[in-house]
Amino acid sequence: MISCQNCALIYTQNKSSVIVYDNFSLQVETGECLALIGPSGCGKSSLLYMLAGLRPPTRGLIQINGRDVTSPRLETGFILQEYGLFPWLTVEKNILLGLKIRGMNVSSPFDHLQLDTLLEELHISGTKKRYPGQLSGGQRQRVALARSLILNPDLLLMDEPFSSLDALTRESMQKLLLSIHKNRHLTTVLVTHNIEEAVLLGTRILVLTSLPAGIAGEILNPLAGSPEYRNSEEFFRQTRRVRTLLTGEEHYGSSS
Amino acid sequence: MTRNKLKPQGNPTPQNKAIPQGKLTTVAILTKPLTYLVTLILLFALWYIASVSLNQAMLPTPQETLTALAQLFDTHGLQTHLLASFNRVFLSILVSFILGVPLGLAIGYEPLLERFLSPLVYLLYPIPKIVFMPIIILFLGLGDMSKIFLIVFVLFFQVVVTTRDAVKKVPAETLDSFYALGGKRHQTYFHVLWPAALADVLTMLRQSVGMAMAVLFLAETYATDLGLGFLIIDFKGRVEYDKMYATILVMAVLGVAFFMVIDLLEWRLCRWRRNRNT
Ligand SMILES: Nc1ncnc2c1ncn2[C@@H]1O[C@H](COP(=O)(O)OP(=O)(O)OP(=O)(O)O)[C@@H](O)[C@H]1O
Ligand SMILES: [Mg+2]
Repeated sequence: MISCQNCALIYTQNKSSVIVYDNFSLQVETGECLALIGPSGCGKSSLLYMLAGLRPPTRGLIQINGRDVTSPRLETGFILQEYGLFPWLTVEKNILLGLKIRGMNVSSPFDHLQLDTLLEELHISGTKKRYPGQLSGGQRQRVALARSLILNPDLLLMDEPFSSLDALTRESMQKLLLSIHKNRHLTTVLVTHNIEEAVLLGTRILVLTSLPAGIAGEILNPLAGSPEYRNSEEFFRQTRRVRTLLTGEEHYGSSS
Repeated sequence: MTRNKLKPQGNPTPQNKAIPQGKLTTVAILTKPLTYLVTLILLFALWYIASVSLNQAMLPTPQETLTALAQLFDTHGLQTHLLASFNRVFLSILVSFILGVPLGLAIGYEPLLERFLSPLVYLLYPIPKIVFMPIIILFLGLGDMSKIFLIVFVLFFQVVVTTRDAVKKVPAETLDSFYALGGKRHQTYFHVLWPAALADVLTMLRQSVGMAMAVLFLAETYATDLGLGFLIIDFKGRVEYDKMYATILVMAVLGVAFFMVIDLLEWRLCRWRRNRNT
């Protein structure tokens, strides 16, 4: 589905430049949930921006379903790290904005039925008329998710979506994401800095190195997909493997 | 963030909807009329005490002033002067808004415009516009045009700068998520920049009402025979102090009225600003 071929990304600012990626390649298959994990500042967000078509790579080619990505694709949902919601719109209008700017008539009963179903699914029915400033962190994330899902994306990009949530809210959001991924077969690329989260959600886990970012290792995690996975023996083995890759093998001896 | 968790999850309670204590808003006046009535009575009482103890024609009592006020409507056509002043301020605020906001949005959003126009705005912004009054009158004459132009001249740059700064404050993430939803650059103006800037511009206009009225007064004292400013100076010249105070009172009420209307607009149009916890 996604192919990223020999991409380079260089930020230039006041004559100094940061090479974030230099000859980076990546493939993501349809239906996969790819978890990206790596040290802070290693370019995880930048990669999502490139895949979203918001930041063209300095060199190289990004294709989704065989088409070049040069500007935002209508079928890609992107949930940013923060500030994604529009504070001046109610929850309802935030969610419908995507349809509206695509020239669709959002006052039809069908859209509202779809909206209500979605709100129900995400457990935010009671917040329809509220403004983002009146929501909790978890509710805001759900609204952001609803805003993407209502557009029926085939690809969902999420940048540390649950990092500012408390442990319990976080767990319920992870559960929600698992069920959405399962029900909609939505290809997902998820950035996280939490090892357990990566192992719980990612059917494949990609560990990135610090700048210029490369792939430190890749772990296939086919058993991911249900909240119960968290309690299994395999889960702990996988988290250890990710940790070893993240910290560098020399500190922890050989990986097992 | 931590504060959110302590908040009840249900619908906002009436207390949540209340205005923060001590904030100067029209809604406060409308919902707590008694407090404001008491304040008003207190002000008049102070005025009364001052005028009685001073006992000079220079400071008439409130009663004398109010009697003169009633007379003015009957004999001096105060309505006409009031309407003239009202029109000038109203049109000036409207024109500054209509011209200033689009320009401010564009300067804030289009890097090219910002490059070329920001230095110009920066240089013109701090110049005291009022000193151009004689020149403006020379070119535009003594009618309404010159007065409106002068007030617009004063307000316009503030509207532009406030709008531009409000656009600059919009987080890059907000814009990016708009593009990610499929928003095009030209749609950004209506869907993101305008709503983001509106509240700031209205606040700025509300705070500038006092200045607009001051400029109006100056403009109306300069070679004209229509408007509250003219009337005030005229009565002073004729040593009719009670009528002068009555006109000042009318001018004050006009200023307060503009203030309140803009405030109400802000309250109606920017509901999202009312009760946020971030
Ligand atoms: N607009 C920019 N201009 C210059 N440098 C930038 C810009 N955006 C990011 N960078 C740099 O690029 C590198 C990668 O940034 P990025 O935001 O992708 O990291 P990240 O992995 O998402 O970090 P975090 O985990 O802290 O969110 C960082 O070193 C950052 O300083
Ligand atoms: Mg990041």
